[in-house]
Amino acid sequence: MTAHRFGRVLSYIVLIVIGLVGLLPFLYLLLLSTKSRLDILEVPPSLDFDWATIKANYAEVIHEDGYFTFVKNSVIVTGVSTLIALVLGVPAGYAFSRLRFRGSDTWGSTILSFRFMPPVAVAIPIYLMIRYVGLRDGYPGLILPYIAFTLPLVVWIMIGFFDEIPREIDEAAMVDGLTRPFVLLKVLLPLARPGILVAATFGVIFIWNEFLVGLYVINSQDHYTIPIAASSLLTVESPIDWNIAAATGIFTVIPILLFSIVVQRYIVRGITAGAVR
Amino acid sequence: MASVSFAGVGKVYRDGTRALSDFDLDVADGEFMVFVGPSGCGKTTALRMVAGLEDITEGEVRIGERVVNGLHPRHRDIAMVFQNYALYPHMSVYRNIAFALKVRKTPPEEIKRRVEEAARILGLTTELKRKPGQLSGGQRQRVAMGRAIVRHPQVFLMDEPLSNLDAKLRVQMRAEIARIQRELGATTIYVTHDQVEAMTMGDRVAVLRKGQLQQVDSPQEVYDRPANLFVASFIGSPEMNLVEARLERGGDGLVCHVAGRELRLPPELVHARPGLEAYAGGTIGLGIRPEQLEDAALAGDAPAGSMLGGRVVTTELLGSELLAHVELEAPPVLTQEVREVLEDVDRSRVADLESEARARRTVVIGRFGIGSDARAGESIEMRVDARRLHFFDLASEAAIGVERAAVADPVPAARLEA
Repeated sequence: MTAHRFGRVLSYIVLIVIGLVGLLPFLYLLLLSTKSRLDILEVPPSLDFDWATIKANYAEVIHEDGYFTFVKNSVIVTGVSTLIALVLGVPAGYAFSRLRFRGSDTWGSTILSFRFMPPVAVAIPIYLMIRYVGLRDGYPGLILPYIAFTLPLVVWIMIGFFDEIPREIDEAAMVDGLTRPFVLLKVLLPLARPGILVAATFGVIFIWNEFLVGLYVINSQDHYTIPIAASSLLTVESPIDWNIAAATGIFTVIPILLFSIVVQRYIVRGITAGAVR
Repeated sequence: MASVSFAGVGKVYRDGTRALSDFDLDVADGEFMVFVGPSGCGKTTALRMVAGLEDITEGEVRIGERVVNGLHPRHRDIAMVFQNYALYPHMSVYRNIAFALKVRKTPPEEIKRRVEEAARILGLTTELKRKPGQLSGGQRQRVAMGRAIVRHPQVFLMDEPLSNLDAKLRVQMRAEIARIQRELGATTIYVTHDQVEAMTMGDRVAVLRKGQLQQVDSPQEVYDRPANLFVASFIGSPEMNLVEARLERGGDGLVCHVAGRELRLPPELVHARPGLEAYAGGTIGLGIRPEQLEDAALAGDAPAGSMLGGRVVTTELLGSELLAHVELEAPPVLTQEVREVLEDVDRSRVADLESEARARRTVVIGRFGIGSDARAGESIEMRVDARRLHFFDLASEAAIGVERAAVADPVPAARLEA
């Protein structure tokens, strides 16, 4: 065997190990979601599948726990927050990338530092403010803080992407007859699409998984998002149904997984090829 | 079409850097004006001020009769070709060219007609559906041109449009741009740091240095009568040979003592350089273009007082001519302006010249006929065409007897009718 082939084989082994480390817990979760309560503690888990048990587990999640309500809540909250964060953050990123104004440099980095703040540090003040303005236990009470968390990231990612688009394209478009806002709208947005999708992906994943602020702000089960709903399975009264929890976990992952798969096809770099030189 | 005029235009950037000062220039309607100079001389800044991409901090820029300071680029009716083309990568060639017309709400049939016309002029007819990424460098350059010409603007602005092309294509596009400009009769300001482009393309050339206009004139005038050492060494390739020489009265006129020889100056030349006599007895900078030097063996009878001698360092046979690098025993002219020009080309050249200056020797380049058998290491006699020598004041760096404010009048519109 040549050294070259040996290197290849070795790198595959390493990659497979890394892949398994990432994938195994998920496979285990998938397996658990197919078991009955009695079988879940079996180690190693058996690979016998009983269709009736599987159906029962998933049916329970869907019907008794009101899973679709939680999905709907999560989708609405995540979608609206991300969308607003993009609508505000993309023009802001453009402005930071292109325009010189008082403090434009300092603000650019300050905005990113907002992002270093973990939600736990601000969850309680946010909760108090939300309660004060009477937005507790509703979508706006979640959407507002989520926009605040996501916006800095969107701005920061977009600054990077706009910086990579040559300024001459803006200038050419202005000479061609557009004002700044229309340069952004008509010429740069299509070019910045990969950046927008990257920013959206980060926003969606963060908001979809956010737990703490949601826990404080939301009281009624009608408004639970998926992470809160999943945690509510663990209560003192009900013994822990790991199989049901696992089925919920699978349902939690699926929407975000689908989103990522769809979006990553559009995150193609090199779209600006041919602009210059 | 319209004229463009700069009146006392200056540019100071926010950090205090001055890019342009007291710039006065009139570009006539239909004229092809070239701004040339080394990097950082302010030529691009001046161009971008006309485009409206750079604030005008001092003075006034007019397009036609209108002062355009503070006017958004889209209201100036100008078109610009960028150094890196700045095509819209997500749009087809057709849409790239049509974009400005579409923005201006031109009727669709008119857009189609004009884009197709531009594509025909530029030879892009078969490429209209392709994206910029699928085009060669030369084709992208044409698309950038096309985007400008469909507009039928008042003024074309071009910022080093050929600098990203390979040498062969550059020569071809140089001719093509000059042709298109003549066909459209469009007022054009063309920025370049390539003095060959400046010489071949423009009706007039404006030479800039450190934000200051050095000379504006037709290319031939700038070449024949450079206003100072900067212009003299910047324009021309190979560049003008510059050596120190002593000017003396001798016999019935003036003679230059250089490298142990005597060059007799023709009376017509002395007459055409008023003030030259006053330098008699002093040291001046003597400028000799390479084509004014010829191998004495090829030159035939030479009158006395028109010869220089030196040792051949190296030769370059170019097929149609032979470039001989000949070392003369005379110190080179090494002033600030000469340094700047050299630094722009290659920093190591300054060090070379400094060591030459210490050794009080100068390597000059002569453009000999191919019949010359100049060989490296051998000494050689050269015939000097003394009728076209250049003289410079070493302190002020200005050319002696050439008016400093050598700003020729704009080319008359008659040229366009011809």
